[in-house]
Amino acid sequence: MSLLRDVREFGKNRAAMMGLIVICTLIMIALSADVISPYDPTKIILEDKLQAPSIEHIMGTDHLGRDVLSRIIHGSRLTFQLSIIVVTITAIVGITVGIISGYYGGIVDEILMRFVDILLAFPSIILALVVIGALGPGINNTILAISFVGWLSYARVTRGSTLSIKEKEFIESARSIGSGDLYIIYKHVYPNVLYPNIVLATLHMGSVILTVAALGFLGLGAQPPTPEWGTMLNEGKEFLRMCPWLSIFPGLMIMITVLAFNFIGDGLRDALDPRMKEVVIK
Amino acid sequence: MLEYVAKRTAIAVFVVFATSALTFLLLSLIPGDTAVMIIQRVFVGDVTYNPSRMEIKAAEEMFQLGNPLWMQYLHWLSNALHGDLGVSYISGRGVLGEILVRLPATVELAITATILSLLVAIPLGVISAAKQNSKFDYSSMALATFFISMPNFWLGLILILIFSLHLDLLPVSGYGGIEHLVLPAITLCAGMMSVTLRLTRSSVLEVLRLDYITTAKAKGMDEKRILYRHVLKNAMIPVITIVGLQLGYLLGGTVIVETIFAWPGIGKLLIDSINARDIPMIQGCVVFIAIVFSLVNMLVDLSYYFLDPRIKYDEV
Repeated sequence: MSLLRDVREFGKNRAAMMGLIVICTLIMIALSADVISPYDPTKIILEDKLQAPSIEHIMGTDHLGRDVLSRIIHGSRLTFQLSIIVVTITAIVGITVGIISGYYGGIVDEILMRFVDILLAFPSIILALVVIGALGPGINNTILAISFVGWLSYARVTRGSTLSIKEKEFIESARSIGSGDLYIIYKHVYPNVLYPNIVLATLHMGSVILTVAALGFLGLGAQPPTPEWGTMLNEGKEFLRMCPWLSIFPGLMIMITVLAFNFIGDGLRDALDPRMKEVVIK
Repeated sequence: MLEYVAKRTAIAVFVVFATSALTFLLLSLIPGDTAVMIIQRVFVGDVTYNPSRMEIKAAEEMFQLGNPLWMQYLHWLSNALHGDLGVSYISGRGVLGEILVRLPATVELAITATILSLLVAIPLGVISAAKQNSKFDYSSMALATFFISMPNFWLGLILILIFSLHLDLLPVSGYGGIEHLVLPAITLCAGMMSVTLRLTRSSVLEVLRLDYITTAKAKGMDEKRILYRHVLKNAMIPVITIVGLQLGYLLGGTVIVETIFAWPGIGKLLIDSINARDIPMIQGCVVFIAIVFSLVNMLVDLSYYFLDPRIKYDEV
């Protein structure tokens, strides 16, 4: 019953519901990008370059005559793909490390958490930049660079929850009837650390989208002609004075998407885990 | 106390070493012949120059490139400890000197943004908490979420579009007088302000729930007086932590803001070096950032001792 209550609690949160609707719409757009985008996002038509928004090109065209709306639609697909991959990788790694660290404790826990604390405090974009600097720009390296530090928050949160669950009576009783460590972790610890991690993953989606776009903007993420929102901003900023639409629309999309994820995350936190305070997101 | 200071210093030193080693390791993955690159860029100044085998050998020996990685690192480390961070592959100048030239611009930007964010965030946060669930509270929280979600590179572009290109009030980019500082500082401060605002609010709310506040209210004390005399003092301790931790955000943010506004600081230097694959310069920038970061974090931790005598360091 508690799940039903949580869902109802979440449903009452208007901002969170708005966020959910926005994200669902964006996912639909991303999935049907090939069908709904009015033009080919990478087709260069120089005669049509730098056109202001009109009926034919709702968001105008860029310096190579490509339709901005089509590029934004295809960009949403890329953005969701990238951030879902990063969040999945980092959540799996972080939750695993966190459970091991919290459940077994001892010297492993001490070393792991020292390491996590140090990296968690360090500005993540700088570390991501070093990884990109070493491996070179591009989509795959963007995933690697962001994942490199992304798992830390999951490890921290999971370890904390594991520590408190470990002391509960039902764990003790499970052990007393002869359950092994792996069984206890899978059956009792893992389901209980899931809630805070769901909240974290939602907020993390927003922050990953921002970092992906930031790397694109710096020219170190997805490379042209890939229609990535940050890369589009980077290309468009040269024409800021004459063609502001090239900079306005991609940025607006980034903001709407991140805002929606943050609203959902805050709503989930209030519904699932009200005691959870502000979490540090990498 | 002394033991705590020693422990804290040890951690700070360890962070710097770990960062430098990690960066060194990562940067060694950069493909390409480093010796050829050094000869072309540092000695000849012509990227099309084709060095002879003798020259390559000489350069390899001079920069110890033939050695295993750990020996190269130790070589770099011993030089670094003597204040020599190597020579830029691009400009041929000393890395440390170049960083120090760029430092004032970054410090100027960072301090202005921090002060600006505190001036907005703390009053708004306190009022929001005092009037919890009021319209004011909701709108300032909405404002905070809005600015957290807004990419700072986009905010920068929009500010340039409005204030520089359309209203023609402020310069588009560059470094100079106070008019150059306004837009970068606002861009950098927006995200930081939002986080500080949320934390000030939750921290004040927490203190408001404590017993001694109820006592003060029961005594019939004036609400305003309670807020200023009892709540604020105690609520500010976590806020100071946050300001310390924001340094990480600040250092990351300067990279982007300095790039947008062509602000000649360390962040721009780092991006330019990454684009040019200038290994010693990237290494130098990252280590320098790590040092500043560890140092400030340590000072923030130690400052609690003076702010909150209840904290016992033996337990930390």
